[in-house]
Amino acid sequence: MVPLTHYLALGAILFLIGAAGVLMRRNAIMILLSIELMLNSVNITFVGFARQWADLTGQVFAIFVIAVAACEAAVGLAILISLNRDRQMMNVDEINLLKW
Amino acid sequence: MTIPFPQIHWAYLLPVLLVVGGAVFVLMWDAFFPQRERSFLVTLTLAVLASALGASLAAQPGSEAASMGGMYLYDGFTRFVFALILLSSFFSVLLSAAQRSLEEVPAGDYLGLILFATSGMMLMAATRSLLMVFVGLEIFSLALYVLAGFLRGQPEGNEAALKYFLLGSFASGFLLYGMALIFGATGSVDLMEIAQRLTTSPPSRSPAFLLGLGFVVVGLGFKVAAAPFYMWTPDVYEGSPTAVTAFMSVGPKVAAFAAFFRLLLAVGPRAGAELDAILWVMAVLTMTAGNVSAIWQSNIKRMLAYSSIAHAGYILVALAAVRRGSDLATGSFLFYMLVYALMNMGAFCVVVAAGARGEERTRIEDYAGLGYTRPALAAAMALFMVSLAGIPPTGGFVAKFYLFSAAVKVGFVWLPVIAVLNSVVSVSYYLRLVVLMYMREPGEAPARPGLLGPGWSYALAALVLAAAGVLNFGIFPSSFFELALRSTLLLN
Amino acid sequence: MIRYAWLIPLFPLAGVLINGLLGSRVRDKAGHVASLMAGLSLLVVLGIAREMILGPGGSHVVPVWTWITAGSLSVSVSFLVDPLSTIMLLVVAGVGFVIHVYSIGYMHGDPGYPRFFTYLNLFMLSMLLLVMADNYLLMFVGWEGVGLCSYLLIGFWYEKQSASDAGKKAFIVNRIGDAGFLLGLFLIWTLTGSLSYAEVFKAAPQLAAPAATAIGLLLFIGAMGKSAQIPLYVWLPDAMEGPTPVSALIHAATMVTAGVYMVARTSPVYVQGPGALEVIALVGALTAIFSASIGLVQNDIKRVMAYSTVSQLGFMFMAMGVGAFASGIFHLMTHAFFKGLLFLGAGSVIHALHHAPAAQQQDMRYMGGLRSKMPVTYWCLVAAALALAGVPPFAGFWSKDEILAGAFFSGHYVVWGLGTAAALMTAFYVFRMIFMTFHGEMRVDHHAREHIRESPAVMTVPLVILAVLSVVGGVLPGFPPDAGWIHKFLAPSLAKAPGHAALDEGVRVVKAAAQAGAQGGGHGTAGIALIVLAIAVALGGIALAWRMYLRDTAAPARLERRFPGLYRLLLNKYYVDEIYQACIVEPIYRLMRALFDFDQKVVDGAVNGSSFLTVWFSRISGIFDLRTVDGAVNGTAGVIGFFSQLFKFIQSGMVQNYLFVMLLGVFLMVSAYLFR
Repeated sequence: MVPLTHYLALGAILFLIGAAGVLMRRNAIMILLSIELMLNSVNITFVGFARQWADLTGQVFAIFVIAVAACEAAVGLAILISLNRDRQMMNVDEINLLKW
Repeated sequence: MTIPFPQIHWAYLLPVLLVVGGAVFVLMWDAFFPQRERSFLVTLTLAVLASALGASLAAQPGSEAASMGGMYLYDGFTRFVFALILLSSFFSVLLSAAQRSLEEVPAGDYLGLILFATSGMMLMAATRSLLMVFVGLEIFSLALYVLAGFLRGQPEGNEAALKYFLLGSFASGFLLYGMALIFGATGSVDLMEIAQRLTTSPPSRSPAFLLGLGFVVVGLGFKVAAAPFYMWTPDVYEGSPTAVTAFMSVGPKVAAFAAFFRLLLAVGPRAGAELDAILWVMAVLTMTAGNVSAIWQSNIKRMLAYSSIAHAGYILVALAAVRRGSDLATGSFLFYMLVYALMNMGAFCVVVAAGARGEERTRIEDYAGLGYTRPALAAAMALFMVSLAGIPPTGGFVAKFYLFSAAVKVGFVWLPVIAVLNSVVSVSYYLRLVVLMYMREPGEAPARPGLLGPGWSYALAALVLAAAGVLNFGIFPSSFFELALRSTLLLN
Repeated sequence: MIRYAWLIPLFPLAGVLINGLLGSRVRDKAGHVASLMAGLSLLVVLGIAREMILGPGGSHVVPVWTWITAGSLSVSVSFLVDPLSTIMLLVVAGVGFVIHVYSIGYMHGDPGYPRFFTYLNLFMLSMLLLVMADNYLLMFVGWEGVGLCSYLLIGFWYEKQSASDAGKKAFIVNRIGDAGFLLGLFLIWTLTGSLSYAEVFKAAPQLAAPAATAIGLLLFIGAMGKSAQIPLYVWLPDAMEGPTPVSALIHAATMVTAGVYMVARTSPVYVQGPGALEVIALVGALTAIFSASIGLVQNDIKRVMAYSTVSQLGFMFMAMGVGAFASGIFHLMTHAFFKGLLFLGAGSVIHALHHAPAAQQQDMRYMGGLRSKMPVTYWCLVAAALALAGVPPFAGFWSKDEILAGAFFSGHYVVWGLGTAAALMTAFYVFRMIFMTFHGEMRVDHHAREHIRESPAVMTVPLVILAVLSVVGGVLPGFPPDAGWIHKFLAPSLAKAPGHAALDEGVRVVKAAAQAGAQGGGHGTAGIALIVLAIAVALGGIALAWRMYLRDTAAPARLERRFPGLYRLLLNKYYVDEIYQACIVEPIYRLMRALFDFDQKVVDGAVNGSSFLTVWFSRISGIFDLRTVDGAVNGTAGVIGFFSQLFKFIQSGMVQNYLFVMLLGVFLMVSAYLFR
């Protein structure tokens, strides 16, 4: 049987990798994927805790997160496409019309 | 095995159902009858919001406040917050109808999104469950991401949408991770149960719980634009259509602050003194960052964005007081939000109304001499600026007074002092606009930009409503403050 | 009648609404509307004053509505009618009405005529609220309101750069004061649990001395801003850029005395914290002599008056500081009469000279010999000057003498010395002004000469009214010194300074002496000696001015040559503006400049290159595929010290910088939790 700490460690590591990816990737789609990674790490954590407490709430939460993540991906990609049509670019460091 | 059907209080649920139903209807209507007059949908949306407001005012919260096992909670606090959210949506629909650049967009999509966002805010504010907090937050956030970039032809709009989306999702990740940790530490996502478990078997010092609480504070702090999570605000506010900016500056803040209040009321007293320090630092940083940055701005939407950050900082003062267990603080938060909604909406309404077809007046310089070309508009703007600055006899002054005195009451010394000094600083940029309007010759701007189109009546309604409210709450605030105070009675 | 006190601010409010909303419609009638409203207000005030003075007096609260309730705190909009507010109401409504009428003539034909009267009525409304409030919060409403009107009216002729600059200066300086005032309010509320005068004063005796001193000092910071005391006086001389009736009403007679009124009103708290009073006495005395000495050499007729106002306000604070509250209020009243008159007279002169070149209209070096052309103005101004100089029986003598006696008998010898020296200078500069303007040969521009004539009746009648008040306004309420009617009348409103047994002793001596004097006895007691000295000082100053500016007109130039450094120092107002400029304004400006450069070079550089923070961050990790871009790292080298710099810096427009700052915030927060 896999102990709780393994779930949590996996979740935490994935979360950090996701966060680092969001910070460091130039390409907006990669950032989007990194965000998905963060959300999924949360799911692992939730599921792990749900088993620990023998409480389904954690799993329900994870399902909700998956649903929301799907919506988020849809909206995010739509925004990206609109931006790409407008300015023909995908790199976030070129987007700085609005500042101070 | 039978699953018991959860108890549902339909009267309490009605406001949300009305808004969601209205959203679906508006969206569908536009899909099936795209040729209809735009004003029909606007009127319909306004009617939906008004009836939801009526329904929530009519539903007196009783002792049976919780529906569906605490997922939906209808108490006095919810009722007041519903009124605030619906009011701000009402205003933003009026503003949207008045804004020239939004005339060409598909009205059904746009208004539907506004209504969906409204329902998300309502759900987020009316719950005891972290799950619903998350779902509500995402409902309105997703809608707002789209609304921010609704004018697809504008590069600024696209950029605002992307920034808002990326930063918001990132913050959501933290919020979720924090919720997971809290669930892990306490075994529940229901705030009441969490609070109970914290008292019976105190895991309140466990790192998982504290870390989780910290991450949730990050996620909520992002939505209310607290330092150091506020950087998206000016960019997004500047890039979004003005009516959407107005919406964003009030509605989401009310909802996120409401959730913040519920969280702190439940777990705050048992969360240790670190939270005190964190809220303290956040409040000071937020108001200082907002005010200091606002001074330098040359774009009025950006200035108002920083001003809204500063106001979030003032409200964080109330949050810090709530953690110390002050009912007065919750009441003054509600009152502050009410006044803030009116004066901010009013200010944005002037921005909308001052614009002409094709070009908006977003540079502060554009307002030079407005006192001569559009005296009524300038007078209204002056009133809102004076109120935002917290100068009597306007609502802004009274609201600030309540807020800071709540902090004084629970023994904060430096926090209200810093807040007072901050609001003294803020006067300079608010009055700068007033001086510009009255003490400068109008520039080369057209003497009468044509706003006497169909949108004018909407803008006028919003302006009159906001101005009357700001004055009323400045001169006769007592009864509404009592109402706000009573709304907190059934909390906990 | 007292029940109808709420009518007093209502009339100016009506005026504001009529002129403000229908400005384009009322046009030339705006002045009449505003004056009518001020007049109606004055009528109510007179009715109330009659009742207060002839009746039993006492303190009456007229509730209007409950404004703010918060838990145990309840603040209502209610008006306090007691002897102190009665005196203030008489001054504000009386002088206000007179100046409204005068303005009809003075502002005639100005394009902003309705706007001017809207502001003027708004000012009246705020000032009346300020003096009638029965709690500190309502007083603050008035306090902010008069400040707002003051900036609006200073910058009234906004197309003049100097005017809008002066408005800004007044605004900034007053903000500093307001911050102090607000903090004082918070302290009062925290310590006494209330903001209404009655309850605060009831709790005042229980206040510890340090607490009371702290309250007193914070409130005094507010008073320093509003009433132009060192070091916050710099805005008042510049405020003369506003129209002259405004200078008379706001920057001489009423608003600037709000600080004095506030200190007198708070006297029950002040007497608990003697430290604050000492500070006030010293600041007042220093301000009095400092600005009087600047007034000695100024050539702009309004600037002489402005520095004189600052100096006289110093006298009033001196009175507050030495515990002679009633004398301070008495001086406030007489000062409103004669200083208002001086300004209106100066306005009359400027009005007559409006055909002269703009730079010469207010310059006394280009006046002279106007006596025969403007007899009414001349004689009224002489009365005012005698009152200001302190020549008996004119108004200023009685009040100023009381203040000096109060300082002397309470043991504040330094304050008394400074005050007496300032009094000498006062007599000198005011008569220097009279002589330079009205006597000697006419130096007015030839072109403008034939246009000089006496101002119209709408302007001279107010002058005469104020002149009469300047003559009798001191002796009637103030005789005999320190025991006159005004002292008896004000006594219930003011606290008695403790530890001023010496003062009481002195008062007794003076009283006895004065009575003896009144009976023709005239024995050489200390009080009599002081009075004689005061008269001698006044006459000496006048004589000196006469000698230097009428008899031996070369004398000023000689003195100037002999003491060139001192002369320049005074003429340039001790270079205070320059010092402020160098020490405060310039650094801020440089900071802004640096910020701008910073934006231009560093941030743009960073932005053009890449997201610098990310680059930074990635260097540490090095795991991911990175695309570092040059130039970015160089930009981050500078350490950012200032908030604003920081805030602008992080607002770079780059999403990932925002993300990074957010993450930094998370780290800080988590470490606050975990490594406490």
